[in-house]
Amino acid sequence: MDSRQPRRVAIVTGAAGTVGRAVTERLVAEGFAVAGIDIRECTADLPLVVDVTDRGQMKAAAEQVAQEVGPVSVLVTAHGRHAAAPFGELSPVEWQLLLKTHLGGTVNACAAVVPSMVAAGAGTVVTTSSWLALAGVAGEAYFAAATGTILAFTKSFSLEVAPKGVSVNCIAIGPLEGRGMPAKLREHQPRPEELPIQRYVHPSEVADTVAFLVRDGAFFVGQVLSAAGGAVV
Amino acid sequence: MGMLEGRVCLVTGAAQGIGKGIADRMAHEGARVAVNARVNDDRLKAVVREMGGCAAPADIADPSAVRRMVAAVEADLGPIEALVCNAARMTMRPFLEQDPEEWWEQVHINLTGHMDVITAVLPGMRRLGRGWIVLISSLWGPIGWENASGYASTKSALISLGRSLGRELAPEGIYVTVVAPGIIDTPQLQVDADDAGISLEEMHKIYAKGIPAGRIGTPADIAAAVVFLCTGSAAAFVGQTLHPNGGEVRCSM
Repeated sequence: MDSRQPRRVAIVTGAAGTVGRAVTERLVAEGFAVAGIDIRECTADLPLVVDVTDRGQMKAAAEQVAQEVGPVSVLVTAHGRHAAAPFGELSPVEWQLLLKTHLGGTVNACAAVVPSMVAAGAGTVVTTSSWLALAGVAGEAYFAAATGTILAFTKSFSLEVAPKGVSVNCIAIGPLEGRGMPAKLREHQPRPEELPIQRYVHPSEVADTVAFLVRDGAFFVGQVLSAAGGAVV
Repeated sequence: MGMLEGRVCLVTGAAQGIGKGIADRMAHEGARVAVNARVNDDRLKAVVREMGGCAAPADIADPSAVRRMVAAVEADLGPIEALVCNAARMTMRPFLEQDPEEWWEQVHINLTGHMDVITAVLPGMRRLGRGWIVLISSLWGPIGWENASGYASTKSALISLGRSLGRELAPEGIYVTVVAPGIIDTPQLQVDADDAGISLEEMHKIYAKGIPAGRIGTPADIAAAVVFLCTGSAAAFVGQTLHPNGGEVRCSM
């Protein structure tokens, strides 16, 4: 990388999570200065403790990144929250939290970051959803619905900003390798050897897909890239 | 170091357009590319001169020619690690006005031809214990198109072939995926412009108007997606179709 060029800047939400960490590392390797946003402590060039469900906090964080690091050209939303119960048995509070986190957090992050991309006439946004939203799995109706909202949001939102030079796409992440996966989710998904690739999807594969979209994905608009290892085809 | 350093790749229908763009990018990424076209004419020779690799002429609608072509590539460059099934024929005609011959020609090339190429290439991939196969479909595969029922049917079939082969071959480390390009800047646009009786420039503008990204795609846009699907991370996408179409359609297929 040319050291005289200012580093390009990315924001990654959920940066303390399994996917967020992998994406952050990968973007740093690609030469980005990464601001990591999470409700927990995370490792990034600029780590910020932010609740993505709070529009004001998210907006303030985006402004801080722009001021302290520079204009943001990449946004990856990798935050999430998992809860599962047979239908009718999840508390209304937890259901609201699922929606607020997945849909609310994604919308808040886009609202905070994308206007500056539109003004600059360029930018790449990658949202993340789940293979459960595509496949449907018994016991996961709430999580599938909450993550499924992101698919619908991505498709319509992408059409509004594509003419302004901003490409928005979604990666629907398959059954994922990683110790951090919730136990209930493990119960509901196939065993690794049941997948066509005979293993779970690795977070680095999601990170590679982000890197591809950032580097080479300008003609992708509003698409769902299903990194599922064949769990849903 | 390129993403495909030293790998042997075969791209069918690669003397022009999207196929040539894919072969170019693969060569740029360090691959040794076998460039297929129907005949070894000046156009194919020029492509090979420009990018290295080897010419692999064969009509992919002819199964014995396909077998000879794959054997020649393997003898020349070694076992094929990545195969891009791109060759295609398109005839635009109202359904009831088409000649059944035209229908079958599209099926023979766009679907059965690829089956024959894959059949010939798979044993080598199996011996290697790895492989990548990318099928080139079309935006019209998932959505269909008027006056293109034959072509669109074959392109839709490729999406289904990719799903089935993706499931079937992934356990052995052979990863099959599909790319469905939208409207791309290729010599076909000149044909479309001539059919419409307008200039190429006007044709570009008309197409771009319908694309949220505000432009038609380039062979390089498609080649980048194909190269991504010929790397390690392709495993995550087995059986899937990627849709670089500028947002013209947000596909679920």
